Parts: sequence; structure tokens; C-alpha cells
Amino acid sequence: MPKIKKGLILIAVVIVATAFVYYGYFVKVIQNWRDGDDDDDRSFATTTAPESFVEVRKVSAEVTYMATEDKQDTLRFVVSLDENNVITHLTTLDAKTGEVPEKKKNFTEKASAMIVGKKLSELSGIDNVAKSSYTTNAFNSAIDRLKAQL
Amino acid sequence: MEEFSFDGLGTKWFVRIDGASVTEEVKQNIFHFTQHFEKRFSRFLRESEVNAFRTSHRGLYPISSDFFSLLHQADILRTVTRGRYNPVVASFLEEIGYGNTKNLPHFNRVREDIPQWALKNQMLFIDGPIAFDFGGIGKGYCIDKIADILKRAGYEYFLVDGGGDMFATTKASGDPFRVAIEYPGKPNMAVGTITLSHQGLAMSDGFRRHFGKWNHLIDMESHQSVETIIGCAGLAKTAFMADSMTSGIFFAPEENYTLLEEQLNAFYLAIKADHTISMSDQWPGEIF
Repeated sequence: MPKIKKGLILIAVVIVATAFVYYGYFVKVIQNWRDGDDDDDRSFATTTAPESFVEVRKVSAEVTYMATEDKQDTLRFVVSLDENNVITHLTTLDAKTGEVPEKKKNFTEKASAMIVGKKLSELSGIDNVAKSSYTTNAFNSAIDRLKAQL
Repeated sequence: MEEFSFDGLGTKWFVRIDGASVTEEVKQNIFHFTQHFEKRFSRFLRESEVNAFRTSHRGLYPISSDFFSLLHQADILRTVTRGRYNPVVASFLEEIGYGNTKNLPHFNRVREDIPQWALKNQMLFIDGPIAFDFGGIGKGYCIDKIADILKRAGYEYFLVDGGGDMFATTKASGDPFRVAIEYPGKPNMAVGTITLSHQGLAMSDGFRRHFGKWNHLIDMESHQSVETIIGCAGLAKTAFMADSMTSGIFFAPEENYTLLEEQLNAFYLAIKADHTISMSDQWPGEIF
């Protein structure tokens, strides 16, 4: 199964959410136009909602990705929208349990810090690459014996 | 810029010298030092210092200054990580079958009986048979020692790379060395770049040394591999501290990261399993 980059997943979620924002705004503009409201100063974007109505609905999307080389995870991204269809909250849930996975508890706060990476071949002026050591001979020789134990 | 390479500590090494030619004598000194270091601290070798206490009784024993330095650093990490990093992981690695240890004296302890150790007055206290593994800090220590050899030989501008961890001065021009940081598990990708100027940089991930259900990062409290973080880079004044930082970040609870930064005077960049990052507020590199 081809790997799905999480960066792309996040971008997709943002695009979907943005589409909702524009869709909601468009519907309201149409309604406003049909109502023939003469009050030209009325603006949805600046309407202040009561606090209890700040979060009015949620949309979600489920995605499957390769968390590690041999482990697949399925997540549900839940986007909360306020009355103006502005994103107020983003939550990541385990699609099976519906709970926030332990290792993803900080995802909401750090969604903007998700890395995408860049191809080494696209970088210029690089003197060296910091990387984890290659598998040693000792590990290689142990693999068959390990497989027999597992 | 002149470069020479060699094998040591189970990985590839290279030394890059700027503004001068490296002599054959210095090359040999570095090569022999690395070989000697491996003999002293490889857990795969019977005569190494880390295997000197495999059949010992409870007691207080004298150890070399290098052994003490490594254990002292391991003790700091053991404390900050609440016991999850512990160099006695050697016995566990043997038990799960990592490495050829057929020629070593039998280690007569069960998994649940975690060997206890402490440092006292430059000596090592043990509660019985014990073996150590300095994976995660030893290579950085060795890199700094090689840098010392170069400095003593009069070289001012160089980079020492041990399997992807390194120490670099500046270039002869005064410019820093610019280094890409590999994306964990994606050897043709970078997560960012950083410049080095008389600093050490280390990188570790859970992919390169992965076997069966384990990687080489074993939590000694749970006896499970660490999987919440898939890669970590450390930056410090020395490669030893940078290497130690990566080990600390893998094993420490997140609330202790600041404590690690203070203890090791180092910065970190951690890539989590969900591919988000956690990093020092003052991390000086560029992130992609």
C-alpha cells in the first residue's frame, strides 16, 4: 500500500474545512440577497455570537497512513466550526476507539509544526548529512535468530 | 578540503580537514585510537571494560577515567529519564538475541532482576554481575576524543563524522559547516538544515536498527521499544552532549525535556510518530 504523507493529509483536511467555510458563507450571502435585506451594514463576518453558540458543528474525515515502516494507523480528524464556519478546534482521534491516542495528544496544539521535509537533492551548499547509524553487522546477523524467536 | 575514512564502532567514519593536509601519522593515530576505544567499550568483546563485571560479586570497584565519564553521563540520563535509559540494557539486548555474545561469560541474571549500579568516589558500586552498553552516548564521546587528537596535532578546521553524528569547527574561511538533518526513515529526505561552528550534532532514529518487534531503543522500565518518537537530533558544544541529548529525548518524559536541555546544555529536535515535531525554543536550525 503506498504511503500517505501526513502533511498531505493535513493539507487535505484544511482544504475540506476551507471549502465548508466558503460554502457556508456563500449560502448566507445568497440567503441575504434573497431576503432583500436593505440593511447594507449587516455583516456576517463581524457578527458576534453568544458564547454558547461559538461551536456549532463538526465535520470529520478518516485517513489511513503508515505510522512506521510496518505499522498502519487509522485516524479521524474532527474539525469544529463556529457559526461563521470558522475553524475553532482540530482534534485527532483513533478511528477505532474514538479516543485521542496517547502519542497524538499534542497534535492539536502542534499541527502547524508538522514537518513535510525536503529532498536532499533539492538542497544546495550542504557539507554533510546528520543521520542515524546504519544497521550494524551484529544486527544483521541477529535477524534470522530473532525471527525464529518471534 | 581533504578527507579520509575508516571503519570503527560498527559504522563508517570520515574526517574532513580544511586548509591543511592531513599527515599519515595523524590518520594512523585516529584509526588506532578508534580501534582501541572499541576494544575497551564494545559489549561484544570479552576483554572490554563494559564486560569486566559480568561474573563479579556485589562491591565497590575501581574503573578507568573514561569508563567513569561514560557512566557519569549515563547516570544523568538514567535520572532524567526516570530509569528508562539505563546502560544495563546490555543484558536485555543479549537476552532478545542482539549480537553475537557466544564468547562472553554467561550472564547469570533473569530479565526481571535489573542490575543495580552507582558511582561513588570515582569508583563503581554494583549489586552483582553486570554488563553495560554505551549505545547512544559512546560514539559521541569517541568523536570528541578524535577532535582532541586533531586539535593537539595543530588542525584548526575540520569535521569528524562517526556514522552520521559529528563534531565540526568552522571552515578555514570562517564559515560554519552546513549540515542537513535526515528525515527519520527516509534517507533521501531532510527535515531541515543547521550550521555548525565548534559544535556537536547527533541524529538517531528507530528505523536503521530495527529488528522484529524491537528497535535498538529499549525502555528499561517497560522492556518495550520506544515508538512515540521516530527520530531525534541533538545539538551541543560537544558531540558527547549532542549524542546524549538524543538518547535523553527518546526516553525522558516530555516534561523533563527542559531539564535535559539544562543538564546537557544542548538543544533538541524530535520527530514524533505522527510526524509533528517537538523542539527547543531556541533550536537554531531551519525546519522544512
